[in-house]
Amino acid sequence: MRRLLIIIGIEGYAVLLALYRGLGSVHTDEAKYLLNIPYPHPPLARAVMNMTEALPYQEMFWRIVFATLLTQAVWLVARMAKQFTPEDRLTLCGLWIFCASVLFQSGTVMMAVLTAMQGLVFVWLLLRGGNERYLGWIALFWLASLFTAYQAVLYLPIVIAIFWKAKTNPIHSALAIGIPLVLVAMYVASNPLAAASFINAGEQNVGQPLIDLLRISTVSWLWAGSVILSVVGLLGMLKSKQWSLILSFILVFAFHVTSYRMYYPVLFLPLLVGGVVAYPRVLRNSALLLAMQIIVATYVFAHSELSFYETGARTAMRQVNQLPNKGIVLISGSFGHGWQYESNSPVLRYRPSLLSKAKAVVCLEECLGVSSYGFYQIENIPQEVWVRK
Amino acid sequence: MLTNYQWHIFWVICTTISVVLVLRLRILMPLYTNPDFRSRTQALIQATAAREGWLLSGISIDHISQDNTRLLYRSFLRGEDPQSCYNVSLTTGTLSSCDDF
Repeated sequence: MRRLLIIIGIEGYAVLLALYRGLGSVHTDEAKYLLNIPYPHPPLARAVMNMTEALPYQEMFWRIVFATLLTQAVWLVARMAKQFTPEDRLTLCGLWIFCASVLFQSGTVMMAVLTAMQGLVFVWLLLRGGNERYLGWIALFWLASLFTAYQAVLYLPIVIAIFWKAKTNPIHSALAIGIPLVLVAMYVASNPLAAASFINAGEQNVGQPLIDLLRISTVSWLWAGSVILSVVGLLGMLKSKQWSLILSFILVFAFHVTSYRMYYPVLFLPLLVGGVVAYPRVLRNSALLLAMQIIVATYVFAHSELSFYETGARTAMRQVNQLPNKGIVLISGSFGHGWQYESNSPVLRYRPSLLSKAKAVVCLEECLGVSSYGFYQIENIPQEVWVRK
Repeated sequence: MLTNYQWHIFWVICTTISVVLVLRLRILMPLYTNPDFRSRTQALIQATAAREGWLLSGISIDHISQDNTRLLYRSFLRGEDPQSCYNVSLTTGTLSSCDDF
């Protein structure tokens, strides 16, 4: 009964975090996954999400699913810490629940959350040992992780260590680890758009001073674990000499340096928990650590920008979707996939030659010729939206 | 160990994925083997997308020959995504519906 109440309590926390993220609108990357737009990531998770497209609250459904995964993962964290004293185990669970990356990334429909969960499973498998009978399933899970998002490759040292510790045939291990990597490389080669966005992401920080990139990546690591778990987790990794965790940590850090995005810090999280589990002595003064973690999390949350307003895409498209006539929607200027997600009609870039097929035109930049083509402008909304008379 | 059913599932899935990807790569092979052809096709697709107002994320290459590229354009939106098929002449740059071809 007590366990059930805790599950319900955590689920309430997850729903609140999902609602908090859902206050704004769909981020362009979230729209990409929800609409199953075929880049940059491989299709496994986004194809599953796309099956729910008909649900009226698809976006909120997945926000709650992702938030549930990240918060209820505390049970796996508790299982990893089953050798701990009850006080230390409670502390580690509290450190997880009050991580900034859990607070702020729970309700995001981002592949990084799923990859972090997969990373946590790999860390659990590594530290518990005794995987000899399940190596086939682990190889399948590795394949599924890579076909969820490329970032799973950051946990490659952990996967190698799992197979290494199982003392299986080295050629067989190399095939089980290497073939999924070859397949994902073939997928990139077969999808030129994914390959282009892959190269683009790798080059996005080119030209920025190295010191800035190191500072951003360090802040990201500290933010991921609300400072306290970040520090004790890294200390645990170093003191326990868990080389696979340390190598994965270096890979995640290097990945931040080359292609930082605000939704990547969660990738540190499983490694930090692994560090604590591998070297529990870092939890001396556990009550003090948990108290400090809660204080930092509260401070970060209090200083975060709460976006209670919806984006222009949702406001404008709500008006456009109410129009009875059929036709395409033209948008002038730069826009993200969030506009496609909010629209009931196909969205194309604004070209005067397409006006005859359009039912509405959204002008994020100047739209030459629209006013003389039988369109009138909707009043009282922040965006310049023209609809057919 | 190789006879374990877990591994059977793993190898069957890997083989299936690799067959699908090899077939797809075979279609795109001219783009990888001929840099001049690749740059010409890329420029043509970008010019067509700019002219038609297409988003690049909606374009996929269905078939490539020395004279023509068959493109599928999908408008991603909530619900069923409308998809249309076009042939683009690599010599003249003209676009025609697959039905007219």
